[in-house]
Amino acid sequence: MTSRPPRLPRSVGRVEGSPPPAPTCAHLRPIPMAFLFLSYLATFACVIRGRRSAALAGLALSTALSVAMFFHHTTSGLELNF
Amino acid sequence: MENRPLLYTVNSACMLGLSLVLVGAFYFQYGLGETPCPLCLLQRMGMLGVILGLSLNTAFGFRREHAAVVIGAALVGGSFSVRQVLLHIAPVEGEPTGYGSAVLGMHLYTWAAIVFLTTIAGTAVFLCLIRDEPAGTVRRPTLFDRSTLLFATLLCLSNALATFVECGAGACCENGPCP
Repeated sequence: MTSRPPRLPRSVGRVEGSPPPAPTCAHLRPIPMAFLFLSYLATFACVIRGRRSAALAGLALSTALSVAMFFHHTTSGLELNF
Repeated sequence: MENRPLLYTVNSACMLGLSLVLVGAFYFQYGLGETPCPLCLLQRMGMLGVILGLSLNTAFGFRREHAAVVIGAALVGGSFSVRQVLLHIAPVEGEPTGYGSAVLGMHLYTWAAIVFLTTIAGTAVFLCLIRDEPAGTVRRPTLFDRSTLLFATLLCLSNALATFVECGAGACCENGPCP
């Protein structure tokens, strides 16, 4: 098992006097994609069981998680923009 | 005045049409060996959100809130696909245009944007035709309605399993799990 490299201070790599980098959510641990699909699946289960309020809440949560994942992808340092 | 049964059939047909789009995505994934990218997976989620909004009509009757759910999900999915269109809109000299295969001259993310736009337009038409069912209504769906709902649920499960196989319990990068 390899150890993680030490985290560099924020000032490293910046030109003196340049504005600070835009805040990103790249440091956040991303939500597993498969889990997002499971949240949609749970919402389908609510619809089938006739629980309208739970279905609406589940869909709102799933959509919010998808949007969060989208913002992670657009701002992450990983090459995720495909 | 009650909603015509034909409207519910059209609603389920729309669900089936969107489900077939997801089946087509599976064909590209397993038939042609094109591993889906992260933004592609997010667009699939947008389509599942639209299908869920339509399935609310199937299960609980037509309501304006359900149409709002459909439009919201289409806007979210549409923004994912428009983002991908914009990422690949300027071709680089010497490199292939766009990302992935093209169908009838357009890439899948462009088709997805068209599907989401059509969904919004179709919902606008539906809003002119439907009447709100009373609160607390629980519909008895027809066999066709139930079949399309079950088909969409199975597709959602298949997508969850396929994504787990592709990326494991983590984020997805271009071709599989992130390093």
